[in-house]
Amino acid sequence: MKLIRFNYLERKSILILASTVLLSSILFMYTSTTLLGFYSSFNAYLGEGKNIVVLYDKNSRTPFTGFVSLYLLNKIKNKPGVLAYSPEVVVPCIMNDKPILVRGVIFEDFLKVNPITIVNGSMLKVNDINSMIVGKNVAEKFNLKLNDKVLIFGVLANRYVELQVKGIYESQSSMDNEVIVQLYIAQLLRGIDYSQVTLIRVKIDRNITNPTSIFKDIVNESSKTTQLENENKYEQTFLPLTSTNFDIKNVAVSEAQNFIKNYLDRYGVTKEALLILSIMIFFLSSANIVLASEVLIIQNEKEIGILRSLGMSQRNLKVDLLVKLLLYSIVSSAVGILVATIILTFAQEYEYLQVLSYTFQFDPLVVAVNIILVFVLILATVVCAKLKLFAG
Amino acid sequence: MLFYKEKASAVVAVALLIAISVSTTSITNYVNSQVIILGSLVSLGKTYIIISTNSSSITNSKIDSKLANSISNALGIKYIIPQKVVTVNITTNLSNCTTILKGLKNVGEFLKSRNAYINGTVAESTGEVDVGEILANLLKVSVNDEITLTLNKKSIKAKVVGIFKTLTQDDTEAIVPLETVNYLTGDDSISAIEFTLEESANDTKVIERISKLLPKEVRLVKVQQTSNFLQAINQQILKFLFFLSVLVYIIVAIASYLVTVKFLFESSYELSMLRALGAKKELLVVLVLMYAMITSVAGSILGIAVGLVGTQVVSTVLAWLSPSINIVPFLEFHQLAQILLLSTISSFLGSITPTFSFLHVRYIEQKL
Repeated sequence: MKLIRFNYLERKSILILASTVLLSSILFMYTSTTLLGFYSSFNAYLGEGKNIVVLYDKNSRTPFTGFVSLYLLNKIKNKPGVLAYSPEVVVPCIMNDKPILVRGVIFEDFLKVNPITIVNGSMLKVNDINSMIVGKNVAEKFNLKLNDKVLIFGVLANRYVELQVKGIYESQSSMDNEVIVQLYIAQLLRGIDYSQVTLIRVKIDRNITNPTSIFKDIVNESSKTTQLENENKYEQTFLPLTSTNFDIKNVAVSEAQNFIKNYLDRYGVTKEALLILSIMIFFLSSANIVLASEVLIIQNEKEIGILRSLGMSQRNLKVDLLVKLLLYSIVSSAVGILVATIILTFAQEYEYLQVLSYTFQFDPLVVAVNIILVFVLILATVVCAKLKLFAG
Repeated sequence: MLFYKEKASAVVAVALLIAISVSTTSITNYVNSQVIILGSLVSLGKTYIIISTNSSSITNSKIDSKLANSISNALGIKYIIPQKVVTVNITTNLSNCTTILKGLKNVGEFLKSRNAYINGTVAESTGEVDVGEILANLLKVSVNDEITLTLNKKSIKAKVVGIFKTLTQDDTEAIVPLETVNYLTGDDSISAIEFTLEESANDTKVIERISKLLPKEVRLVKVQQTSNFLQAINQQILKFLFFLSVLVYIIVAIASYLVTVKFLFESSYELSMLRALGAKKELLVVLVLMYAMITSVAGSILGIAVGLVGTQVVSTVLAWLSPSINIVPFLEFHQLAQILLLSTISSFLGSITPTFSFLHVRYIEQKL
């Protein structure tokens, strides 16, 4: 079976088909990459390793609005398999009229769980009380330099703070879109007491313990109400702590990568659901690809008819058409993917699409699905087409 | 028959595209409404600050101290706190650190406005200072200890008369009477004016009145910026939708082009016959464009129905499968009108080129 060497298809109709595939691919790529990008960024928010678990308030409606008692640390910090822990308060705020996430940490603990690199300035020390370190992306977005002073306004509480930039850090994660401050500064902005935090991240040795046994440890000891022990570690944070009780029913323990996933799952937002949604969008727009293929065959009816009259079998002609259309379609699809990638990169660069920690991520799965869908559509259209003989 | 038999497929092609726009818009409407509901659960504060226009921080701000007097006459204000804020070095016998020093006309009134707990008394004279609890812990100072406040080589010794807790940034600061800070800076300007409105006050009206009193050199900022945050999130969602809609309507225009081309091919016999019977070109243009418009409007109406019903069905099924999922997509009337209008315009633009190129084909070239 030989392919026809000359191009009998009209250039205009090929162009229309190519444009349709191109636009549908851009639409699919734009939708899926944006949605999956948000999803992945939020899921990776607290680290992706299975050895990081999170203690959080399971009754809160969003990942950053609940709070747990700092005293939970007492229940777990000396347990076997617990390597490090970091109590944190994550609070949405406004800085220079733009939204930003502020993360309050105890630096000594935080760095054991989540190492970051200071690219300019210095790490905060315990006596840097009204200071902050900012992520590389934040420094660029807000045009912040070392020693700059800014006002940060609360969203969840009627509070504001004035902080000075002490350092700029890089974490190679969505944390580069955040501001990190002393724990009590974030507690003030969140409007909570010094003995409460949004979550506690715990680094564990998987060979010794797991989230379930950590939860059991907390349950076993929850009947005992204890004050935070007077260890030097906590004196160094200068938190004026008071004794509080906590209700074990409100506490949950989960792997860090499942923490936000659990919240998103509550609203039906899963990776599979988002991918299916994007595929649905592609299929809805693909009626056009079928239409464009049909129009291409109609517009070239005369040429196809002549080839059929000259003795070319319907099967051979379909194979020839399929190879030609697939070539144009897959090239168009690839161009569409490239265009969408460029658009999304620029959108992110110029902050057109950036909700807090969104990071555009190129997903090979999306590209593969796009090309497979185009292939299937063109195949189905050509196979179902009726190639008539030339009728004069 | 002029209206060719495959018209249904043309309507479906447009409908499916419109369904994309409708379903994403209706889900986005739900997401936005949830964001607003979540925002409304937060009790909003009534505190504002006035700082100089060109300043991004309070310590760098400088405003006229007389401004506070003119604002204090405005009705509806619960507390008004003019303050002078500077960064100083605090030294004790054991340690030292750099922090914020706040000079206030009335320290007692200020601590009352913050609902502060205080161990000791309120600083009332130049040699007295109240220290925030976190700062006191850091400096390891107690009531009756002496500290030295230094700013630009000028120092003053002060006795710690009280340690307070407010659960605000003041817990990391030292508070003194205004004269102490004036002595250190050598001028009597102030940095900012903070005020809180009465619970019963109409925020919009009071702020409008106060804004009229303010000179251009200062700006008024609301402390709790919940609505700004929600607006920023909604803006991002709208930007996502905008680009998606632009793509959809370009594809609708191409769909309309394809539908018109297909129609012209399928109906070339009828159209040529009409020409042969003496129909004017204008009539044929109107006929073809009308066909494209009718297809587009029919497709849009079907698309709106498919999009809305589709999202409702999917959300209901999801709710059955997982009771925690409760998505209620909806579309507002003006959005319906907008979708119909935009799809019709896109279809019109898409159908113009094939219509006119068909009519430029000479009569003898047309297929009979």
